[in-house]
Amino acid sequence: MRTTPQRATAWVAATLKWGSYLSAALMLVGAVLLLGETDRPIQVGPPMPLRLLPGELLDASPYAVMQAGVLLLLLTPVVRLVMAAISFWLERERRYTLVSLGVLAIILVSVFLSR
Amino acid sequence: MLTPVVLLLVALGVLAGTFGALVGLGGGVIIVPVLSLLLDLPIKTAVGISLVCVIATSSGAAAVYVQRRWTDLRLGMVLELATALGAITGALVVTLLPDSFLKGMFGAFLLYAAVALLRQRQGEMVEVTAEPPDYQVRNHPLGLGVSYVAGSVSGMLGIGGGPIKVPLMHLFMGVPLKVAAATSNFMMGVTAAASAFLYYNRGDVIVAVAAPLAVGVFAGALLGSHLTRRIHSRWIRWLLTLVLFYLAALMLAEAFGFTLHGRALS
Repeated sequence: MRTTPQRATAWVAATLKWGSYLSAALMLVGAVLLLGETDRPIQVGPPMPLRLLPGELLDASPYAVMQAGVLLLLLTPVVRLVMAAISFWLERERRYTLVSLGVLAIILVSVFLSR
Repeated sequence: MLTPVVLLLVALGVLAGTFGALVGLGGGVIIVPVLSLLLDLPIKTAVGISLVCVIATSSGAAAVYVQRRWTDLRLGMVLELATALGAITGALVVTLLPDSFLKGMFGAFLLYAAVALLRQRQGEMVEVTAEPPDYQVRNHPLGLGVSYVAGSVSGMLGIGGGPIKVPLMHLFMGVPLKVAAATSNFMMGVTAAASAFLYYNRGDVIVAVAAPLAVGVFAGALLGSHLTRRIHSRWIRWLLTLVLFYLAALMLAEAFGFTLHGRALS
């Protein structure tokens, strides 16, 4: 019988749930703000550089709010891997701690490659 | 122009998310062709945006499946080693391929998905209440190999890859079908994230398109999971099969240089 890892299950499920809620809420708010900008054409360029994001967020720019939501969505699986690694480690499942860290390392390589 | 476009994107997301929840297929396979054919976006941009939606589909549904213990976390994470590597490979290789080749590949995958959907027995994906049966996972090397391929296809075409991973786990690794479907959905998030970061940094994720779509996908997934018990899935299956054949024809036509349709929004 395959047992279910209790702690990992709870932590991973919670991460996915809150990551989804928060990112969906940000993207929804951004999209609603965008609907208010009827006088301007839609911007279809690449995402703005990260260093501009905080300032634009404070200005309630729809594009910045939507971008923050998209970024949070992209980060949800990464946080999920960190949570899985910690919970497997606390349950002394060394093999699956290493597996989680391995997948995390691959994703970080992807982030690094894309810089 | 702006309001209809944003509302159209939300509607497209709802449609894709609902199909995804009802049939376990229909996120990327609908989003990429529609963005590329209807909105006239470059195919690589359509793929980057679709990957964001794949993460939305995965995270939203996986939270529920993990909680209900339908997801095999251990198996999923082992196979993610291969899908994530594959996804990075796919996202790097894609830059070397001409758009027409990608469209042809996408058309071929749509045909495969449509045929796989036709062959799927009715009611297989539906009830999720009973406890999963006991099972032993076997054939790990084959699983890792095919998962690498599934990850590469996902990274190149912006799809979740369910039609590859679910039969793999179910038929060749001894995993019950519903566990295979839930585990495949769970893996899609990490797999898509691995390539999505590359697309994002290349500028291929247009947030003004991706965000309304993803909001729709979340809403559609929620709607679909409530509809599951009420709707005759056979009709949905037939409808989606027809849609897939139609999109396949359009993508293949474009791949060979024909433009058969009017651009609705260009």
